[in-house]
Amino acid sequence: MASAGSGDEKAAAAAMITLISSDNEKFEVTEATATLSQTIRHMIEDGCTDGGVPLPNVTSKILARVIEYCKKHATAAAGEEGSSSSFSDAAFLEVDRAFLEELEEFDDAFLEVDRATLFDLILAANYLDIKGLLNLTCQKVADSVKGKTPEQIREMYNIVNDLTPEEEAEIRRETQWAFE
Amino acid sequence: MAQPPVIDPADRLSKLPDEILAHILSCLPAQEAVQTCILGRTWRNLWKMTSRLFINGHPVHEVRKFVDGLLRARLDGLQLAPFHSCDIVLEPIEDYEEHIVKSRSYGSVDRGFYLDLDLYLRMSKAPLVSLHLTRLELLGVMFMCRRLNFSRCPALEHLEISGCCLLYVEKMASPSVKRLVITCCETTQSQSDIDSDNAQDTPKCYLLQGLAEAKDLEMIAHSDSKDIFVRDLRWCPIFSKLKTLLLNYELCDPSDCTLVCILGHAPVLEKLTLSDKYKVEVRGCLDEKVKSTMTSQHLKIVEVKCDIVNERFLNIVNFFGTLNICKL
Repeated sequence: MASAGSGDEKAAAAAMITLISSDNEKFEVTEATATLSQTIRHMIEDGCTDGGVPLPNVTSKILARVIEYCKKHATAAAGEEGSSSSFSDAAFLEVDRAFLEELEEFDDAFLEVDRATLFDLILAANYLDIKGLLNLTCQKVADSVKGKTPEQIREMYNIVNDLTPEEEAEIRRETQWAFE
Repeated sequence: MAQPPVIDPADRLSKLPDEILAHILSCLPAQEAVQTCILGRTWRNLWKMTSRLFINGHPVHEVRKFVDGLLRARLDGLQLAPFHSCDIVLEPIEDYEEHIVKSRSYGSVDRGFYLDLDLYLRMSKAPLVSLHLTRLELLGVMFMCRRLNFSRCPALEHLEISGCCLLYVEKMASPSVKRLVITCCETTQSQSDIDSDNAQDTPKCYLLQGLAEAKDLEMIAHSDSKDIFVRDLRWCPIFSKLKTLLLNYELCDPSDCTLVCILGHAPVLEKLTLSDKYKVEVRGCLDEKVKSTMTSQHLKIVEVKCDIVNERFLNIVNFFGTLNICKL
């Protein structure tokens, strides 16, 4: 695929960044991959990435998954940049569409994780400020509760109802318009 | 029901930071998002922090009370927690010609012209008011006003109107819109297709006049709507600022006058793209020494995109040949 190829070439020329997980494992990634994280992007801009970027909130297991996501999506972003300079440049739409489909499949497969991992990914995406990954993982949680009653949601996520009956009645009164 | 396996003994969901929980709720239909307020203490006010209002699949009268309630409840906090986007998908109201509506599934919306009328959502005559709205996409809406006025949305830059009914609309106004997309709409022009003889004599430029100030234009016509453009071109305005232009296959047949006419009215055009199905691309720069009185002296790039080199393609090449544009 043309766009993927040009992405790799670009990446090869770019500088490498070392990310260090909470359990002290080091990951070498290209700048293009790393800067999907706004947090890391700002660190690079501020010139404080020499000697590696410590990420005390992210374990190696989760960081490896996050990097997997960023690599895939960085290639996609590079492909987009290279392909079309204006909205009317429709010659690449076909290529883009195929690539987007592939990306969607990747995302679906990426989300096949247990719930603990999903929460860890959400927290990592939030901490590293990776918008796409945060949207993806939050959507997954939202989908899991969609169409469920409050009782079903509590059961599913072991949420303890710590509201007193009076409090619950008060809340229901306040938001009566939402329960009709 | 049997006890489900304990998946999450620690209730990690409720322990996520509030802004993440609000993000999750933003992905839910608004009704469901609000109803999480009784899950537990953590959840009580989270719905007031969502950044997206998502309403899906109800007729207007069923959601009006809910939306009013929601907005009233959030009004005070909107400065701190504004909505970044609203997606509202409503079902049409079935109070007109009920017998027709009921016998039709939504799948047939794109069928007959007259049945369509019953399946549009009607938008009231009152103008839309929003200080902050930057992007508006309207689908399947019937505008009940003569003047479609967006001047009270001073930040609106991107306006998309598709699959809408513009039969009553005579004027559209917005001081701020930078990108306007109108696709698959019913207009008075398509009505007048029925008596096209009269329409040709009406000295009125329906579409192009309003676009005369545009810098970038994409004009995509289908064989049945091409007439609108062709008729309009009789009163073609000067596109005094037009720099890039895309025309699709239907509009770039040199045997009619569309292309000639538009080129003749675009004095500063720099890039012209003639596009078919986006597969093969022929890019070319015009020989800068060659200047034609007919076209823009600034025209530097002509792109022709088409599937197969067919007769029309050759016609186009010949056409540019006649304009003394030999490099293509």
